[in-house]
Amino acid sequence: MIETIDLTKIFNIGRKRVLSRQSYAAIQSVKALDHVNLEVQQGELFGLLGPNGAGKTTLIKVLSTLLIPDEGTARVNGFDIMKDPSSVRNSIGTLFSVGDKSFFWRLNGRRNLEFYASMYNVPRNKRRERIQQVLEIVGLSQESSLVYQRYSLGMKRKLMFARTLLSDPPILFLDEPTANLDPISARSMRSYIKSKLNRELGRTIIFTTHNLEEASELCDRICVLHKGHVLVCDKPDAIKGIIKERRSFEITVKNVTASRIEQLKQLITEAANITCEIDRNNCDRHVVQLRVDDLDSLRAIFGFLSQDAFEIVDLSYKRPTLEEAFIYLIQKED
Amino acid sequence: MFKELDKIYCFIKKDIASWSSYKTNVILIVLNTVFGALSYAFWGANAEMSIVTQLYRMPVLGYLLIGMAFSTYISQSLNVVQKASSPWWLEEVLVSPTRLITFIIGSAAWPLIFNSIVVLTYLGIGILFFGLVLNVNILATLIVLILGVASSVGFSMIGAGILIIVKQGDPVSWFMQIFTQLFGNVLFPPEVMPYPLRIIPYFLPQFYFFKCIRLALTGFGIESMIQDLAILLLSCIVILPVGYKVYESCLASAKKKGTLSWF
Repeated sequence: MIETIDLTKIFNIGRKRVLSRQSYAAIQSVKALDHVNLEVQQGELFGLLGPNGAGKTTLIKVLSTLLIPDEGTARVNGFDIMKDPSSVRNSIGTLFSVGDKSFFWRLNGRRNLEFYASMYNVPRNKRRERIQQVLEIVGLSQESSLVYQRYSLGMKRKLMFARTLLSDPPILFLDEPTANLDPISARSMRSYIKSKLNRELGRTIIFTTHNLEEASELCDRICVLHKGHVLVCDKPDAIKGIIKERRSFEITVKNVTASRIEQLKQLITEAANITCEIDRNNCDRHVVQLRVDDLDSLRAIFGFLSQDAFEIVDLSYKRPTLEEAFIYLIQKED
Repeated sequence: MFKELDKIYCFIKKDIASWSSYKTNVILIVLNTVFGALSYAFWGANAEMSIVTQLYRMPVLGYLLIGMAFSTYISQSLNVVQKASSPWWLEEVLVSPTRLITFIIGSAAWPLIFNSIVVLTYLGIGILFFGLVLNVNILATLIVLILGVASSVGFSMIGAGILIIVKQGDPVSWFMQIFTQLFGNVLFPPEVMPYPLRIIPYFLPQFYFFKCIRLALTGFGIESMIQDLAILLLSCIVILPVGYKVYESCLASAKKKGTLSWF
């Protein structure tokens, strides 16, 4: 459905004066996309993750034909973005993270959608009905007669999403669709994206977000981009599995004497694989919170603490989260 | 084809709704048009310029009112694509399945319709209050209008293309506006200028437009202006495709550099 082949995009970011025998200005450039090879299957909900400037929006803009790549190409719905951009545009709906200025501020929400419905070839006789449908989907039917300039940031976002849905395209590029939404609206949008658009209607969706829980909840597969490179592209659980050795136990114990805590600190300093956090507020009640990374260490800690009559207040096994995996991957790369 | 016409209609509808929502501005524009027309009509009714009567066989009043009325038309046409190419929404239109030519025509439609109303107001004031006599040759007027607007829109596309690259300051539009006012046969015929300057208007399509539109509005047919019309047509044949190509290339360049939505 979507395939990128060695997709590379380089941006010139200015000139740097280079001092040499003959002083000259060298063009500085940054690789926003560096030979990106991806394949997204039909009906897949595909997440793009990455820190700011990783190349997520650039990739979406290239796939939407708004940017021309420097090397490589891509196929969207079977059409080459370079050779057949108009067919690509007929197949996609886009929501960009900074698209709220593209509406007409003096027109109400419905009139704005009427204009864009014509731009997206929604048949004239179906326009009114379709606009009503998308307004209801995004929860803006009550506010549709309000002029756009009165809309809150969240309402603007919803109207952008409504515009994306107007032509009911087979492929959707959603660049941070839930940004600026309140938690209830964000959950409702996520639910619609996954349950209706993706699962029921089979739409192929590429989705960027900084909310890693959101990505974990929604996406069939996730691609982590960093400095234009694909670091990993896999199912969320598989990405979390990259740091499975980082699973840990969190234990809270009480009735540990102050001297024992000091000795414990000493032990932890010597054992590199044990980390310990002491809740300072509760020091006088001798409550200790520990994070232990493996079973052997856990046994050692319990053996050590058993010299006092300690009591376990809480014990939990902590699985690695997507956020931890993400941070691990990015830090490893840096 | 129907889809494209429908899109142009939606552009016009959207522009009218936006424009009419600024009610004070609408009132001021109407007043401006009426007072502008009255000023030039008073001036024209009391001025003498024998060369105008000789060359165009019309009073100075008619010469001035037609010049002023259509100069707003040409001025709008020279700016119309630049105004439409706002970085705010250019990306949203370009990512939709809308052809570039539809976008340009759609963006130009309402400003030109509105300026037709301005033209009618100017001429109406002249006819109703100052005894201006017109004998409109409809076919010739329409042909001259289409060619005049088309050549100006061609320049506008070149200007818009440059603006997409440089972001601020459009030298083409600036140059054409200044030269049209000075050498375009708008308020005075080039024959009143010193000799070397008299040559410049002959290189401006706008000069031929103003010459032909005055003739068409005073009853002359296509055959009476065929030579000037041919030059105007030739300028359209050259400028329109060049303008479109320049605009398209500048858009492609901005897509390559990633500066399409920059200001």
